[in-house]
Amino acid sequence: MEKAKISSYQLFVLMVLFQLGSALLVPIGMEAKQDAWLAILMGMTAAFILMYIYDGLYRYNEGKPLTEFLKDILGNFLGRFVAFLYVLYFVYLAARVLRDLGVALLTFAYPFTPLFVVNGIFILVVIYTVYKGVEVIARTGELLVVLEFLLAVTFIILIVVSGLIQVSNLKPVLEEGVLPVIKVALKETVYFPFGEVIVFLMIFPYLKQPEKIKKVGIGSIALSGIFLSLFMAINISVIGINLTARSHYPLLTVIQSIELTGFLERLDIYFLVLLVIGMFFKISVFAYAAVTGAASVFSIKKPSRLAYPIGMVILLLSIVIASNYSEHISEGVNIVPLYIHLPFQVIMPLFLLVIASFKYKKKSKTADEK
Amino acid sequence: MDVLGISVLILLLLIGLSLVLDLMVGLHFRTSVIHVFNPFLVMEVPELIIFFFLMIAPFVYWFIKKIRKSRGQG
Repeated sequence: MEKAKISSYQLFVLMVLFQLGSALLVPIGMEAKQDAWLAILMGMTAAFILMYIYDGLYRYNEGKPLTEFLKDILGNFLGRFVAFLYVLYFVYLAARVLRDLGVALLTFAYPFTPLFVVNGIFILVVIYTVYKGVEVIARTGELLVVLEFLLAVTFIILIVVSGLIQVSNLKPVLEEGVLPVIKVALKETVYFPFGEVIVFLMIFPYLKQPEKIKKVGIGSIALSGIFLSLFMAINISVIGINLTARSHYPLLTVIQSIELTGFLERLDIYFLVLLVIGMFFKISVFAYAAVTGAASVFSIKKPSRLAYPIGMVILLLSIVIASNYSEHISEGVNIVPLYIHLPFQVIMPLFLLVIASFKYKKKSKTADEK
Repeated sequence: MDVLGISVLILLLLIGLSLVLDLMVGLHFRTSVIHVFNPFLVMEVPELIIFFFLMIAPFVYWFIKKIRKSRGQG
């Protein structure tokens, strides 16, 4: 572990940017149709419980990252093995996000540039950031969050002023009852993007005030959930549910439809900046967790030595992960949440929490007897 | 060398995971293996140059560092 400290505000900013990252740009919870915004809010509520689990797990092992305390809870061999699985999980998710970014950039900004080149340039920036450490990621977040929120607020003002919002597109609310919405929330939105905050178990030990973790975590999930829900409601109310569900990037379609006073139009740059800032933090946090995790599992003294090789693994994997974008999305919607997110975000942490509570209860009992 | 070994291990395991996911989507094993190599087979010359540069860069850096170190000692 490097000797670094971040403030609770920096962690909050990092968590918000991380969650808004790719979720802001792709359609999520589309199975709930015009109630997708409600599915996001319900997913957010379920994510509060996940955050309680992660916080509880960290409380038992304060000052240690996930890959370290796994060894304490499960023993050296099994702990290392599960920690390695988590490293693979973080690398895989980083590669998925990098692929999302590359394809998005190619789709609307660089149609003649190869995917490998776009992803390669981006991963070099990520490698440099990860090499510099968590303090640099946190400080960059502090700087760029201002721009991100300025863009988000001006976007909402422009959309409202240009009179594109048709609230009737959001009706009927809960057409088929509340159950289908809850199903979508538990099947999809709770894992992506909220459940992915499990990666912050690798960053919590760097926090100056560890007692604020729960507050910061819940606050960041609430803020990003409300923002995502608002943006989804805007998307559906402007372009309708059919186009939102069919479009790869509904936010881009909405931004392109802004026309104000005859000259304020073609605001695609909004989408580009939101895309790059959000994805940068998401990939950086995943890559940082993978690098420090791998260093801990394989007892490498200087984790920064792993930054470049793991960055290259992320790059190569982002290219081979799927042969086309449809396959990539199909895997992301149908397989990844159930077979990859669910075990790593819910089942394993719950299992670890139960074992840790038994283990530490036993320890405190024997200490009391002595 | 240990760092290289760890990276290759992670890469191979995750390519394996990607193959499994392809099978779960409904693709044949042969098709999914072809999909893994295809992006590299269709690369054009500039892409290949960038690819080899990115792969070789750390070795060049390590080599230069080693030469500088030996000169400093000498």
